[in-house]
Amino acid sequence: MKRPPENLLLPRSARALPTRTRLRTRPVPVILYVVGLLLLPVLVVGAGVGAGWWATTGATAVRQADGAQPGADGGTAPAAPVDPADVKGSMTVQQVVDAFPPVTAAEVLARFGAPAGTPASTPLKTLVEAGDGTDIPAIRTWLAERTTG
Amino acid sequence: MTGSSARTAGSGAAAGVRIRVPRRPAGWGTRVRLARHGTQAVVVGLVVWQVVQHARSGAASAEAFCPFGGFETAWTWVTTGRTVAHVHTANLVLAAAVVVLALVGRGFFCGWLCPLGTLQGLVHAAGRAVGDRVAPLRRLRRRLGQGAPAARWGRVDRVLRWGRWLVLGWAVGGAALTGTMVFREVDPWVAVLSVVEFEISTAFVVLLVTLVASVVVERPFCRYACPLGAAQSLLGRLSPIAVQRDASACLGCDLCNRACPMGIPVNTRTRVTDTTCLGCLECVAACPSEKGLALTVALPFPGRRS
Repeated sequence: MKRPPENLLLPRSARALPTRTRLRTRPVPVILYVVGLLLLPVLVVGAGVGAGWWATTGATAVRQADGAQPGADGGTAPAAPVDPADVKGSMTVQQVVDAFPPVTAAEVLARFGAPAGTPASTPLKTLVEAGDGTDIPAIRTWLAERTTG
Repeated sequence: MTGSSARTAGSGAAAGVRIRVPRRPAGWGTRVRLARHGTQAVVVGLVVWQVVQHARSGAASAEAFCPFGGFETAWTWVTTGRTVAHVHTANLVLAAAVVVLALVGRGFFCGWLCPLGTLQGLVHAAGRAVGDRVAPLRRLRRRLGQGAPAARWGRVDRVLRWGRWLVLGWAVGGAALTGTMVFREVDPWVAVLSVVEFEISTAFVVLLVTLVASVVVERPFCRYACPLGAAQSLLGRLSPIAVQRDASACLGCDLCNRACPMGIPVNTRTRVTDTTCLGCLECVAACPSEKGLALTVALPFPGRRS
């Protein structure tokens, strides 16, 4: 197979002088660019996890700082909310029970019209989809009444 | 210019002699493309794994790993300490990561990591492959790609590119004002994640339009509607890293322009600092001249200019 020539011919109209910018620039090796920029988000996420800000379900880290219980998987899971308005469909029945004493799992399940044997690890949104029409805002209202009353 | 056969630029031009510039090593561009596509494949694999885990065992939704959710909830989080619905603190951490990434590496997230961009790129590559093999489509593309139709499309393209700024304002402003993710209703990424549910929603229609448009226009959502890309464009203006062109080693071959997925006329730039630059290095990989295009970092301290 014929090897391509090592040099290329510029067109006759090519500018003879190198391009100049107003900046002082240095070339960056592509490998350094790729590896460095892939590491950067990893470091930021690692810092976020280390600081306890990483939660993929439930309420916010601000609520954790307020003294609510951390999640069962070692502290990076969402804290249980102290305000019924923070209840989300991604929360499990157990998280609601933990957050709003004296509410029990049986009461929550009954509210959704779910069978009594439903696991406490079931997310609320699953109960909404399979339930009798009770939605998350209705549960928030009920929890607010239940905990204040 | 290096090597004994390369004449000095000034004397060569003056004498009317063709200037020689060194060629890139064989396979260099392919390796850069492979690195990018490999990275994109890993990200897509992680998203698919998360979607499957979510469907099978109720693990966190892949939505919880979307950095734009962090931008949408930022105002609510700062002012009330809460996140809007469907957003968690993980989204805020990822948004912070994207901010840092944009400040350093411009559009690197869009070009190397964003799975929606990868999806559009795949559809476009498939469309181009079909177009290359079907003669009438090839002729049609050639006819539309030059002369008056191309000029007309250029004008439309420039106007449409304002769309992503409007979407950014609406998505972030709407979330701040209403406390809900207004953009979620039309977000094609949400439609991708819930595609197994076969739910025909507005977001699904947007996804469908995006994928159909991807056949003829590369990355249409990124060009015209992506609010995350727009947010990164603003931050990316501060990035010191950019592709730089050396006119004395530029062949004027147009390969960089054709390779750019965002349609940036690279061979008219000195430094590619366009807000739409994805940092994908497709232009650098396509450039046959070793010194024609290079990735450079602008140094903050004074010294001899380059």
